[in-house]
Amino acid sequence: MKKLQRTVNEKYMVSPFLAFFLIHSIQFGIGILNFQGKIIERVGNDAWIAVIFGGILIHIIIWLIFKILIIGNGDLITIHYDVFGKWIGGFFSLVWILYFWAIGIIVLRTYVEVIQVWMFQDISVIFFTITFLLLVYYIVSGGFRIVTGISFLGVVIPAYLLLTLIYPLNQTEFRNILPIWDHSTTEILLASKDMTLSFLGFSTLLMFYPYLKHANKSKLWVHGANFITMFIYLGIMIISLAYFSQKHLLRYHSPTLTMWKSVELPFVERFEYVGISSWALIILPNICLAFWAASRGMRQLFRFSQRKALIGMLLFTIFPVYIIKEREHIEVLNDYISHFGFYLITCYLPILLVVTYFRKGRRKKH
Amino acid sequence: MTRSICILFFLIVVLSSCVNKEILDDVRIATAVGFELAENEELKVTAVVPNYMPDKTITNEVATETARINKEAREKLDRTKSRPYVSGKIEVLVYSKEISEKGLMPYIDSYFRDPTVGSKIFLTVTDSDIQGLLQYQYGTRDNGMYISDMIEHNINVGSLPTTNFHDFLNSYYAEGKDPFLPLIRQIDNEIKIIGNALFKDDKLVGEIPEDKLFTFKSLMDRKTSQDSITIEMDKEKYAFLHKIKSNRTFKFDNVEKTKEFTININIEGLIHEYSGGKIDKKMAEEITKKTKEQITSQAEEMIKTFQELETDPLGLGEHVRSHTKNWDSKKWYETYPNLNVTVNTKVKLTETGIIE
Repeated sequence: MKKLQRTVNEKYMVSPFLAFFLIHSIQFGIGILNFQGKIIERVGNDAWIAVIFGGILIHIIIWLIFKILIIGNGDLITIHYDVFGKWIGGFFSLVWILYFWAIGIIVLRTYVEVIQVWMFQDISVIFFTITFLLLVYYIVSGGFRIVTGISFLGVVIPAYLLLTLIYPLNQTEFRNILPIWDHSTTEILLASKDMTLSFLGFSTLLMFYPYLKHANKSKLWVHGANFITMFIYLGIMIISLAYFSQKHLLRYHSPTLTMWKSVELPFVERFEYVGISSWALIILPNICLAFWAASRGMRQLFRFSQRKALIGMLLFTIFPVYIIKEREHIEVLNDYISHFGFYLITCYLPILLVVTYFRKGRRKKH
Repeated sequence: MTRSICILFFLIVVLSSCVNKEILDDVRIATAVGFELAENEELKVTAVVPNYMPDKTITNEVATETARINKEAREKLDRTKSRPYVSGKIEVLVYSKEISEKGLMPYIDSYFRDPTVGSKIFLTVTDSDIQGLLQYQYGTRDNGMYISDMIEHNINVGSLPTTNFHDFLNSYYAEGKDPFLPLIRQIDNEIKIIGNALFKDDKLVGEIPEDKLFTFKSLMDRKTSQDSITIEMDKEKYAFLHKIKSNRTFKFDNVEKTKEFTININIEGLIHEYSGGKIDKKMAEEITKKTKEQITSQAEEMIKTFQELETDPLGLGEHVRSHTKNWDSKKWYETYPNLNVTVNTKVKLTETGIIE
């Protein structure tokens, strides 16, 4: 049995600025395809305000995570071990591991579903999943530095997709956004809560924090990543509001993809095919980082090789991806996991901060 | 171990590509589809496919089938053809007046649902026999491309306001706006835009005739350019005004109480033709005045018709909504027919061509 690893060898570490790509790539994934519907259903034309509020809330939680990590000095598993002991701490760690794993599963399944609806109705889910998971295995088994590299590429290469937002701009009617603040503050706050669900995933920071060189310097980069994510969400929300009338938008499963229908290029009749294929590169780091965090958690918790944990997890992923067949189930599962994640970061993390502070932070001062 | 992994990987790569292929030469790429009602109240669907001949000409292939719903007709058509139909390249959907009066949404559904159909295709209404309209070879290409090009250039440099599939759905789903579609007709061996069809929700309720298209476009779009109007001066003299640019603004204040709504149109144009001879300063003023009168009276008359039909293609409701907190659509529809809409037109003649 291995030992609980508290420090990471410097040769496995990454520069603090890469935290930007890690955080941004995991926040920005499947959610962007259909985040508008839920928010607009609640607050209509004020949806963009909810995006800003949601983003601010996430900034606060990131601040909180850094506090925990600095006081606790380690990753989530060692902190749990230190403050709650072996059994209770182990239980909480397991919950988080399952959460990270679930993120990986649901992102993959949702992506396959997008391919099924938009590109190939008759694609074999199981073969696609296995191919994709082989790729994930290849990347994650290469270690954290490789995962970081993929995150970097997964942000930089598909960035050109943002240019396609110019096309729907031709048909926008910006008066759709007026009047500002037409809904009650409570409604807007509730919508902001829904919005935060689209930002989730950044809590993997709890796992990879020890891998950041000069971790203190990464703070700005992590906040920067969240800011950019919020900015892109805001841009897409405003364009969607202006491009669709509200009831029209609510008819679509994924308004973001529908906007690509307005792209007209001389050499591509249907841009969605190019876009969705490029999207694979956006969700790849997403899945890799989730599986990395989950398998790293397993290694720390049960002290056996991360590679074995990873193989086990990947094998067990095929099953749920295969049995979830209906879109409705995918949506419900997405909902459950994101709500679970929401309560983990908004309710559990503050408690963890307080407990960590009393168990570890105060001791330091003596 | 390594070998079995290699075999597995090979199989996965090979088998993953086992999805349905659609090779360009092996499918019928429909470019236009027409819908009308058959005698037995069934749906009569006409599909247009370009046929690329060996001598590089394109012929217009047309097939018609009746069925209960659209996709059933397609399935029936597929059974008669050597290659299956695909809908990824549809450019135009043509609906008969009868169907438009019944409500278009059920006949749009299959294209609304389809991920392969673009949002920039055109929807049109016609009062001609659709099978006949689509059968005749108008240009050197198939009729789908022909009609689509015709509508597109009339939007860019003619008298049609911006319209496409996305706009139609947007206006249909908007609470304070109703859609409109271009109206086409087959006249002998020509196909022609003869006006616009007005909708209330998805049902056809009225028409805008050819001679009012200029005014309609000026009212519809916030900024327009490049369309033209013939101005009737007195004593059988006519002037032809070409629009350089125009903008349109809405003004209102507490509209539900005052019931006053003002539309301002500013037009900048030049004279392309005048049958009265020389245009001096006085004449130019006269033309400006006449243009103003003609557009204002046409616009006000048109808006009255809209109010009578209770349709709102200009989206006055949407505009009021965007400036009113807690806007109530029901209340607006009670106000709308009694709204007192004033149109103010300003015309500026910038040039008269290269002669005085």
